[in-house]
Amino acid sequence: MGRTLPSTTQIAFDQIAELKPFYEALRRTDQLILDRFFESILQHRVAISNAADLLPMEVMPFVILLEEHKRNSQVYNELYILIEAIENKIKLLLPPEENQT
Amino acid sequence: MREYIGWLFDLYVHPKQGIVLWLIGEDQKAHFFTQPFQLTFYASGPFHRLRQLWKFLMAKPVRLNRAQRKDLHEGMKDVLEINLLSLSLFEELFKEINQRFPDLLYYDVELPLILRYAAKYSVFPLGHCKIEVKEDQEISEITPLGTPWQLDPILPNLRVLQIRPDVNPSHAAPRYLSVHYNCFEYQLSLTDPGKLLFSLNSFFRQFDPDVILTSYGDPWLFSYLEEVSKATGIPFNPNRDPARSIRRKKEISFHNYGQAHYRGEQVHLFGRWHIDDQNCMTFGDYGLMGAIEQARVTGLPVQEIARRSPGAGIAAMQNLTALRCSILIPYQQQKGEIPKTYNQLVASDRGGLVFEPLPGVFSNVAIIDFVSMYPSIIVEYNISPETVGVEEEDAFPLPEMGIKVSSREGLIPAALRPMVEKRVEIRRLLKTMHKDDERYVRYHAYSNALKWLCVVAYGRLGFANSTFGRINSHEVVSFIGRKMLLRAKEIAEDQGFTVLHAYVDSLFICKPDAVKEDDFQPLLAEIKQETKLAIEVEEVYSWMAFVSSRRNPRLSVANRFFGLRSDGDYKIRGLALRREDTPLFVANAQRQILQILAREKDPSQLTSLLSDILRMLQQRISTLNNRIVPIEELLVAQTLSRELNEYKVLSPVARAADQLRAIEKNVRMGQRIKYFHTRTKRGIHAWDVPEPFNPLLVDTAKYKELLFRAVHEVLQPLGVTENILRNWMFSDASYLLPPGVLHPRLEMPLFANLNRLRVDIS
Amino acid sequence: MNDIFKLTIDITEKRGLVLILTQDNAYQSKTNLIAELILNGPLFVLSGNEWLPAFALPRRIRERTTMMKETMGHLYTTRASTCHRLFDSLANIPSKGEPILVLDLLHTFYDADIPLRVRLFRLRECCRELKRLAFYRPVIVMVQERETEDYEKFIPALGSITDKTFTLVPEPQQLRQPALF
Repeated sequence: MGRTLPSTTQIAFDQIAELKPFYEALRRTDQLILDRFFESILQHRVAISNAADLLPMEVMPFVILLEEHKRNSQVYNELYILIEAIENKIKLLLPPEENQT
Repeated sequence: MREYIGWLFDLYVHPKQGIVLWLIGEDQKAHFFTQPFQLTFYASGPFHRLRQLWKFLMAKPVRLNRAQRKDLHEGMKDVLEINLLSLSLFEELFKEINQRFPDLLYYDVELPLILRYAAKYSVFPLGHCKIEVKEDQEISEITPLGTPWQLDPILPNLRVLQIRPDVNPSHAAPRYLSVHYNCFEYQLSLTDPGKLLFSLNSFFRQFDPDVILTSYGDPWLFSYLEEVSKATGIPFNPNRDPARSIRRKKEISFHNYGQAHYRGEQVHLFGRWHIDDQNCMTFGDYGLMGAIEQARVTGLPVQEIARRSPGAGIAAMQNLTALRCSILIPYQQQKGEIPKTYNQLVASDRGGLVFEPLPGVFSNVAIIDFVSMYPSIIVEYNISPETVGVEEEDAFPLPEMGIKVSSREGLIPAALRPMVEKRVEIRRLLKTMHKDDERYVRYHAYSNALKWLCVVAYGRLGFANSTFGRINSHEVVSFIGRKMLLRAKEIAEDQGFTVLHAYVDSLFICKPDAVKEDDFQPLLAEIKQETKLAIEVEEVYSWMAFVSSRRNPRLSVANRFFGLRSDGDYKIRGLALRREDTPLFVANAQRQILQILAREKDPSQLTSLLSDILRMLQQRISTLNNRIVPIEELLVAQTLSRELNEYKVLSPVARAADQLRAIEKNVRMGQRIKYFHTRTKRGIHAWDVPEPFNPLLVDTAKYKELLFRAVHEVLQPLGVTENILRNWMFSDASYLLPPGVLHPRLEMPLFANLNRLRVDIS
Repeated sequence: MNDIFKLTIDITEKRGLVLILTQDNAYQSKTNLIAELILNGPLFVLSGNEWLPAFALPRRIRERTTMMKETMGHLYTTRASTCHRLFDSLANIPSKGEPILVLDLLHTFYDADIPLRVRLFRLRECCRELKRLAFYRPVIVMVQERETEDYEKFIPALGSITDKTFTLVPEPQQLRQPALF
């Protein structure tokens, strides 16, 4: 933070505050999702600050997408692990001759 | 002619002419000398006005010359040189000149005498030197025998007399003074003032101390002794120079780095030092040894530097370098910012880089940090107000900032270079030195003293009131700092490290097979080669916990962590026990939790210690409920952030200050006020109110809440939620399994009071 | 505020010094004014209290033009943290060039650590520089009115070099649709 421009934290909070009318018009379940997006923004303040772009709002959607991608990847990985575990259990339960086919 | 060898101890204006100089000789005696010394300052401006000034000064006791001197930004310029032999006349004379000729520019005006002397003769406070004197103790020649940059200078054995009252005089009336000298200890009762003064006078005669180290000497002791002297008629003069009386400086309150500070009235002595350890800014960090080191490198007298902020020390170093290089030091003139486009403003108006940490506990975490990063950047990249924004062809370009930096050595790098080199060397030696080494304590004090100076050197570049500051140079340093930290992060990640956290000049990193310092050396070598800055491993921690935000545990907080060292000690930042407003009762509880956690080097097993922690906490809560906690452990100490009449709503500290003001105690912005939380209408009780306090009025609920927050701070990285902890601590709940093992919806304390238990669904 | 814009745009086509008195810090008005001015061409802004509009300014520009970066490139800025630095900044601006906007000129002159005599002298020197600049280019100076002794002493020095003075009324609160249900 310098002496003239606000800190990235302040900018992030200001941007979140500007979305308030939009936020208020959403259902609670949707608001909770938006809260997660705001957390993503706050977790990547240094990257937002480092972006040469003049408008932080142009960088923030990338941050949200980044976190969403990470979350999705984790879900896919857990799913694959679960599917693999189920497949192995099925193999164990089936008679040997069926397993070979 | 006689010759003396010793250490320059004190220097001040002689009432008639020249200066008085005290030397602590190699014979361990204090010697008094005088010396003619002229004070020089300069004026510049339109020729006809200088001529009028010349005519005005012809009738004054000065010697005038036309000269050429270097202005830092404008190069060589014609100036009128004004030399004064009677230094005591300077203040009045300059005031008159400035009022009559306000349109002229003045230089070398507001400078401590000792800096002028140091610049002329290359000596410095506690510097070893040789003096040749005439019959009448007038110095004819002085020669330095050392430099401030020696790692192991020979210093005199100073005679230190310590005087302390039994209580803080603003809290209660002291009953006696403890006097300590070497192995002698005395208690002097205050009930017999005559005997008190008689005893003190005899101590001064007998021990002839060089240093008087007191507690509350500035605001209370010497004023009290002067009153007693008047009342009894017994003379008392703590100065070594019998012709002088005590010099007093007024109390002040000021803002510095966004915080309010208060400095009480100061008592300075002549021929002797007085230091009040309760009225010093950073003295507590390094003691007398560190204060002497700061005096040696900055040129400011020990009595000054011990009390003032490190910023004053850096300013003195800059002025001394300017004097030595014959660069004019402007008076009431400052350079404006070099204009920039809006894009350049966005790129440059930023501070240090901070990466939010990953929340949780991690093993084998190393902190690698650049040694004195900002001062090193100033020296290595030649950042100075006059080197930034030049148009020279061979200047170093910074395209993102639209600026170039000159390759000709600037004033600030010249001033800082020897100090930065000394600090780097001392740190290197301390790392390899055993704690039993007889140099360890000394070097540690020097390192801390120099650290403070290094820390403020960067801030001084951008400080509004700094003579040689300019915001552009300050921004260039932060810009390069950010670049270097990002580059270091990239190199670390290229070498397979995970970067857990980064804070301005440090990286917190880990890698599965990197567990000792040697494993990080290839990384450090590459970073040093790329950045040209010294970097070292501060420590490899067995584990490190990063604390999340209280409001949202999914959000991490910068610079709030605790890490277990290999010796069982901790590195702690941002926790309650480090904050000045945390009561000792709460700080000790947090400390005890950390001691329990220190038993386990494997972070995955830390939760097995929760039952021990819980038992300890139950005992602590029980002492609070039974009101057997010593009252001093419940004190909250906070700094008054503004003057009392500026508060719109009275916070607890303001209410405590208001209570003190009502009993006519002096209350100023920046003062630390101590109070308890009480179950009264006011809600607090100020510690320094003389009427006795009923301990039954202590607000135990408030202290339990403070305890709870401090405990949660250290247990939260282990997965303990607020709800579960609250039930453990206050609802007699036990626990089924350590947190993190079950799904959060299943984690529920056994034997919990289910009527009051609320399960979070998230 | 729109009247002020029109007037200042007129002024920026001519040389002279305009004084705009505000009753509060008027940050929104200042942002809007800077936006209007840089849409017309280059502008030099000297901030007397180190405040400059942050990201609200490029957003205002974005509402009016797609050439945001080029328009923002019209803006040159400098900040002053003390009255001495303010004077040096003014003294170093060449006589001829783009219009100049000085924000909160008197802010640094309220520093009680500097003797009043020195501050008054500095202010007169700043006024001399402003007069020099206004001879060749449009200069707009914004000052926040205060009910203090120092303000009463400072404002006549500015008044003596001003060609026109305007007072900015605080912008009325935007009307909001009240909740109907």
